[in-house]
Amino acid sequence: MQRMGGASASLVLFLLSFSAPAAPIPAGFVSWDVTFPGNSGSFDITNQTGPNASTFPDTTFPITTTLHLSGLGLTVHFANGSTVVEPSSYFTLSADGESFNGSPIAIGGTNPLPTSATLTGTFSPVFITLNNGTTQTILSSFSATISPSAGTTLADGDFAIINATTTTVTGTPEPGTWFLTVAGFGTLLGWRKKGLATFRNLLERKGAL
Amino acid sequence: MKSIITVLCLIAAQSAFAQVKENTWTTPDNGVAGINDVNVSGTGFPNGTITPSNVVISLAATCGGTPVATTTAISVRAIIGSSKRVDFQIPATLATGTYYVSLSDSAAGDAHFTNATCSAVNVTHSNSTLAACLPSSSLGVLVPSTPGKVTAYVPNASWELSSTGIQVVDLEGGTSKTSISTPNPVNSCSSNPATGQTVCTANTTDVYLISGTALTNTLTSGATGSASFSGGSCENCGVAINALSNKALINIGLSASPTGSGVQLLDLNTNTFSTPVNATTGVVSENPSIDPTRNLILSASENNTYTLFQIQSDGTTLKEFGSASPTDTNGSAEADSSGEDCSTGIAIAPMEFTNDVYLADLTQATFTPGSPAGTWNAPNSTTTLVTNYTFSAGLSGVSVAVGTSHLAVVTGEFGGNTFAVLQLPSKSGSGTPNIVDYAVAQIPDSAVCGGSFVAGRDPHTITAYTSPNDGKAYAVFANGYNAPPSCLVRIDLAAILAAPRGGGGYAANDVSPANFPAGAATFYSTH
Repeated sequence: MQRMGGASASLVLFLLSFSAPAAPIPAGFVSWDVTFPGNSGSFDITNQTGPNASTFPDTTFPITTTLHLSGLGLTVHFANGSTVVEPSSYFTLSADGESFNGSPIAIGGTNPLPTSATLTGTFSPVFITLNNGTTQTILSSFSATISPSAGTTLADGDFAIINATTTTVTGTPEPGTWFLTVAGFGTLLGWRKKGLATFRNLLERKGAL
Repeated sequence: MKSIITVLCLIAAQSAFAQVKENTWTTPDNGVAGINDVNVSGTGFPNGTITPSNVVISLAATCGGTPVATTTAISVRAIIGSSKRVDFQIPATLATGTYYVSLSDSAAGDAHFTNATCSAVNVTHSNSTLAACLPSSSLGVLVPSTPGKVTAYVPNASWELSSTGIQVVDLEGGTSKTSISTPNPVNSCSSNPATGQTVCTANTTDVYLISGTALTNTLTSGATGSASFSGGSCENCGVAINALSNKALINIGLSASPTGSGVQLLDLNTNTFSTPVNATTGVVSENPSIDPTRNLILSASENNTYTLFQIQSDGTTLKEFGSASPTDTNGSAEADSSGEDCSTGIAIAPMEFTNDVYLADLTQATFTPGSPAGTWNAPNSTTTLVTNYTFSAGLSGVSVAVGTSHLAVVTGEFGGNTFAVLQLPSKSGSGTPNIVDYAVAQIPDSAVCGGSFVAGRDPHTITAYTSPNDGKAYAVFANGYNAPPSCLVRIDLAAILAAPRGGGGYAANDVSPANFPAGAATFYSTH
């Protein structure tokens, strides 16, 4: 029984080594930028992949594949209770070819301040390389919500991280993963042999053979 | 030996600095010098406190090149891990172009770093929101937010002249001249740089929508009568554009209004008009204008009041506020048009039949509700321009080349060729706004204009813009006192302000014809 438990644990570890749970990888951020103080601001998307990725061993923004963002949608809630759903045309591609500039939103005079905003969109490609050389598969869709860092309305620089969510690990396993794999297979083989012998003995006792 | 050790120590200290990898471009990737903030984000920032005022921001033509401007950060914000976002205002001294931003901090008392890479930023001197911050004068000018063609839309009529049609004249990036036919005489045009659309109003209730040189649609405003001004009367009297909301403001005659006038908003996204709003505190301005970010309609009236309409958050409801009259040297207050430097919130109004210019700081405005109209007040000043020249009918027309320069132009009407360039304050929010400097000059004679330049009639044949191509502030005038304009002249405002002034027979702020800078005036025929 103990042996069976050890085998099961090894099996689970083995399977986990090839089918990691979904994990977020930072790909950039969407921010409320007051670019014309007292007058207007914009929701901008800073894409931190590709040329904007951090340099290994810094894993702050580790995606070295340039992730392109499309199908963008932005829902903004304002202090007067109104909600505006901005279409993708709200954003224009930045000169870096991957980030986006938002259109100005007036905040002077009687204009209400934004209280929160949610960005949605799609990543491509979904097969990415990280700055440690490994590869990952990510979900194509993403969502990020900016909330006030203080008070009830957004302030300049309030942001939300845009995360890419992994699905499975498809890269070359690390040495530890190899060990688990071999150990898992070994345990499985041992358990299978023992299990077959036990089954055979049981059948022999019942005269089936 | 000592010096070698010192150098080695410096190298060692330098190498101990964290190396920040800046993103390839700022966020957003462009901004107006002296007005906009942009952000540099990057990774590799050190742990520990970074004091914004200790962060030196250098901008150069190449990454690591000789800085052409430096400033310090407004804020430094941690994002995640080693990433931070550094916010700064683009220095006002930068010319139009692309610059490379380097960040560093070696000041005592906080974490030190230098940059391993640079972020690029495109610097401009205006943008689509600011470029549309113009009074509803006769002339429209379509100015793209990036380098390209600048085009003037020149009505053939005025409130008192009845020629139909519009002349479309390239001012920059082309030389074409095109006529657009209209069923009724046009008095005013205004363009939205964000959409490229131009809207023109007829002396009747016609509103013409123009794309390029094509009249694409004719709408009918809610005018129910004629508004009367010192310069004539009209059903539709002019148009100004809010580039942010893509709405046009039309000043109109309203028979049921106590002043016979009012305003109406036209949503250019849907081509629908809002309900007309009466001007109750004074006849609507000959040239109202819109402040798109403060949600204000400025209406400096000929009836001893400076009215502000506050656009409510639904985008169409207006609340009216009248001001205590801005008195002038005649002891009255006949403001003839309404301009604003939307980058600072400084409102400007020339006072007709005088040499007076009124300024008010709208960022300090206080509003007292009332019915049917409230009142507003703000720190203000009135300056009399001293000149030996004569403004025809006094100071009447105004326009601000909104952008980095904070330069405005005022001029007369119904003939004449005198104008003044005003240096407006670059800051607002405290104290009393005052004109920083001014120069008065006359448009030179030109064969293109048939000799002397003779200014057109109401609603003021003047506008201004900041060039997306060279970043300079320009005024544009049209002639056409008794006939459709035959010429335009573009004036380099900074060149006039920089010219020698005074001399025999001239006031201290006058630029004599002999001192008029060569190349400061460019003439265009309209046909």
